[in-house]
Amino acid sequence: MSVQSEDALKEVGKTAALMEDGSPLQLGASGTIDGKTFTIIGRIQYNFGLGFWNEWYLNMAEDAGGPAWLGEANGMYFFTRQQKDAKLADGIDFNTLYAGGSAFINGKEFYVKDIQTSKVVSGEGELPFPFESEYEAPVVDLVREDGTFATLDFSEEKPIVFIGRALNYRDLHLNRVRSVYGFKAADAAPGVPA
Amino acid sequence: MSERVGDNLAPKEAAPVQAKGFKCPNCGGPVNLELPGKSQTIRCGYCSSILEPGHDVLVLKKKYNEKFNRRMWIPLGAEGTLAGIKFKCVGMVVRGDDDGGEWSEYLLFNPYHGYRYLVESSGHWTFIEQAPGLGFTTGGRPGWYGPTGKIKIGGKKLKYFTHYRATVKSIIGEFPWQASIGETNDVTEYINPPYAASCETVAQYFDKSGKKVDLEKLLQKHKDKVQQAEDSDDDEEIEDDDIDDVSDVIEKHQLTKRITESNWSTGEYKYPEEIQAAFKLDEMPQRVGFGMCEPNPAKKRLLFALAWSALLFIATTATCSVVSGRAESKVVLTKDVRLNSADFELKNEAGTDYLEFNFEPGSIELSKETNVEFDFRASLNQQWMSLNVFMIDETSGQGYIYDTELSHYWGGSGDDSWSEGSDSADFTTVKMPAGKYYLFVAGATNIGLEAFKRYLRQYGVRQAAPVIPATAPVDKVNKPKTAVSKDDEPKAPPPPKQPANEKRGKLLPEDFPLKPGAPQFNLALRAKSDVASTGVALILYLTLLGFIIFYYFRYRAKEKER
Repeated sequence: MSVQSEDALKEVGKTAALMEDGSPLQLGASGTIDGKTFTIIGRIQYNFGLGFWNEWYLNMAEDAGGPAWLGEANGMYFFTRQQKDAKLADGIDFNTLYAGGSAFINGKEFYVKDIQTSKVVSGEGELPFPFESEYEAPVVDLVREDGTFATLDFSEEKPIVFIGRALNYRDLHLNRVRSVYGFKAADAAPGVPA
Repeated sequence: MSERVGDNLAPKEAAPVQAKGFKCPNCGGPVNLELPGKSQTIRCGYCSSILEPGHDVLVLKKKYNEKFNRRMWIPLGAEGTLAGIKFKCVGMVVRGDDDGGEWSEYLLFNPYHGYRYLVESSGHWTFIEQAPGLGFTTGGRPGWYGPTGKIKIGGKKLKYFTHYRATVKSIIGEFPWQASIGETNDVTEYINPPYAASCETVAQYFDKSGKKVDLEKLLQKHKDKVQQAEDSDDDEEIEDDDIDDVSDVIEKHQLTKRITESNWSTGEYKYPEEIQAAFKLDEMPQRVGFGMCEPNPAKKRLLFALAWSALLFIATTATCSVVSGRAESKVVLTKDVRLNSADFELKNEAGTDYLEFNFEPGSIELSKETNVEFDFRASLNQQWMSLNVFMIDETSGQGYIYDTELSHYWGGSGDDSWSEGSDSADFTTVKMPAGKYYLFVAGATNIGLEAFKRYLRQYGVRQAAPVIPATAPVDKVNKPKTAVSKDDEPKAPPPPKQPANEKRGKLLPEDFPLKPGAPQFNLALRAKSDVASTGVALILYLTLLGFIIFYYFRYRAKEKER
């Protein structure tokens, strides 16, 4: 379901063009995660000073957990969903967290992996909120020993919490991916239909 | 509810993403950027300048005079399939540690599966993958995952192996990060052959408002300011003239250091044959020693053990010939001892590194009261060696200790040439009561020190080994209670070393490769009928006391460590 609100249209006017970052993913690509089907319907492109990072917005059936995000950069993939009711410690502060330190989310201890200030470059397709480009997002990535992955986005007063896990390309069973840099999409994952 | 954005901007049928040709902004030479959009750094193959790909342009970041002169066994652009995935080699980073060891890290790329590293170190290959799902305490540093710690990855336990600082020595090709020469990272490694895991941390400085600061840039700014003030003929006092280095900058701006990245990766040992076949390489680097996380199949291990023992042992030869009796001095023991890395341990005392070793030449039998002359010989090349000889009465457990030192240095040429020390040293014991004495020699040396350090870190498989070899009469050696000091005779138990059951990390002989110029020394012992003077006895007694105190404190320190 796509809604073109007046706000969104206004933002589109300001949106800078997407940069060609060589991502093999694209709108319309689909796949499965744990047997549950998804289709890429939107994208936010970030620049974190060391290259590009995409958050792909995934359309998934409600009984499969509903829409989700697929973070992607340089062949690394992170499947997450926003957790609106996540509990964070009071006074958690972007400026005092450091890699290797810990932070509690929903009472569980996570370790800080890295701390970045990313800039939203551009976006495309359908997104769950009015889109804004050129804003800075202070972001902290965390992991738990069991592999649970979390992102805290400090761009709003109350940090936005995303929780999920890191995946390999093969875990995504993707098709309709792009052929880039002379590599053929069909060769991407032998044994898995591309 | 969702919003629709950027329809007009989406690259629906965008130009294919492919390599682009550029001209080097410094020398004008052709530069082929394999991965536009991904690579953040590329090095010009002609003038070695470091360039930053921008939007359809290469920007000069830094000029270099040195030419890239490292051997690249897997050439740039070479393609090969590893773990079922096709990769293209797009770069190589040469890194080194603070002790002079160097290794090469080939950067492999696949647009779907991402980047991998293939690390080559003395012909040993490790295939490394980033592990974004891993993360532990700060850099996996000493803490609860400390040096004796273990981590669990995918059901496998990996043991702490080493911690060091890695510095980028050189780069070639292109990289998805802002690569620079001289950059350092803290690295902690864990192993369980054939698997390895490592954590690299990156630290950055922040000002009071929480803004990231480039130390070098800030320092330069201060220096420029001082220069400007000096250049102008102003008599005003120059501000900032006390800022000389980055530590001053940190102090002045009250900057705080934060670790901003902890990057974990996992690795697996690969046999060279697999790499050679995957990339269809004609030549491969010669494999030296054992790889850090190379699996040791029993058969192979034995083969290597034999090979090393035959060819690669650190050629330590101890010849102990003990002569006893008066007029007709009798040889009671002649022994050639070959020491190898299994006998060596890296130690540090007051900032000086050295190798510690010990061996047992055997036992000697004295049929009557007599003194024994020990004569040690070694082939020294600007090297030193100190030896402590323990004689332990096998029936009473009473011990005697003697020490000696060998060193041989020379230099200059012609009339200016000089030489100091020699390849041999000897000493004579006081009169020893008749009996059977078990000998134990503990030594320290700088022979092979640098090679040992390098290999220990790079290839050594740390194995637990008993401190006292099984053949030693351990019960006696470890009983400090037998300490007796009779009159002016230097009698004492051997030093209270670690308990016999304590495990210490050691390299096995087959873990240790041969370096040309490996050390050699020969040792010999002799007994003469001479009676040692009281003065000599006193010196020996004091030495003995010194050793007892030294070992006691070392023992205490070790206890504390545990």
